[in-house]
Amino acid sequence: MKPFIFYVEAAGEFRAVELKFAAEAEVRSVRMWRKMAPATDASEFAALAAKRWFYYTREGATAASLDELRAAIARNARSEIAFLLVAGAEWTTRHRFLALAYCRRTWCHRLVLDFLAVRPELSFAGQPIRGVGTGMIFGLASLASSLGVDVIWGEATASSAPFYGKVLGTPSVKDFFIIRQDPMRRLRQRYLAKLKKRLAPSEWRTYCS
Amino acid sequence: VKTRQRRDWLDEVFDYEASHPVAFASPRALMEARLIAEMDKARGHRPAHPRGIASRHRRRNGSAF
Repeated sequence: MKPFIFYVEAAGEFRAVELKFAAEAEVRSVRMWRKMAPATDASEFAALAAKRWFYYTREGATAASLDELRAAIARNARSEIAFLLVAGAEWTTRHRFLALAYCRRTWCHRLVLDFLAVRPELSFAGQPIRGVGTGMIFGLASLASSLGVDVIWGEATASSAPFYGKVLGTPSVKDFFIIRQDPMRRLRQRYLAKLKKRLAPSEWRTYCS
Repeated sequence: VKTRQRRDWLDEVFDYEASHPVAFASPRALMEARLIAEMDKARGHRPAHPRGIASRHRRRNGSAF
């Protein structure tokens, strides 16, 4: 299966990051963000998302891989399954994971985004890493597409609505956002078009292969 | 005549992210997660089998159950 890859800007270059399903070890790892000082919203949300993941895992309602998620849906088309996505890359030796997204697949085959957190103070070669949050949304849209999910939605707050509005190109986001099939496809096309312009031709070919 | 160049969408989003940390939670998910955390904490303070009871029970009845 092709991994879900997005790109971030780090030290003046676009570098690949892989988005994958978290199993127990990965969930424990992001839970450790709470040891960051000073405490941040991202570290609190990481700890709470991990807590929720462990709770639902005890209930047998989580998936730790795409195969597990597909299998759960195949067993029961109306199953509600939660999963945690984590983004990481080998070149980011200082940080095991750059971001997380806690999601749910609902009974009617939609995805809900409950938590989205980018690890604060991310840097590479002394420069900030940019575009992780945008990449996470692109990655989630790619996952939705591979699952045949046609709607991603979530609640938005005063602080998250402008971000979702900018990423989705719809400034009208209020207290919830909904990404239907066409906007999802447009988002992916737009992101890929920008990526194509910025990646070296050889890297673009590797990405597309 | 001044022409304002339209900013690249990706640059604009990246710049926004750089100045506005991405750490978002749905209010309902947050409330539920906090509730789970409180339940876990309470369970930690009041274990289902208080220490010593199982071993005393085992000694008396010759079985842990």
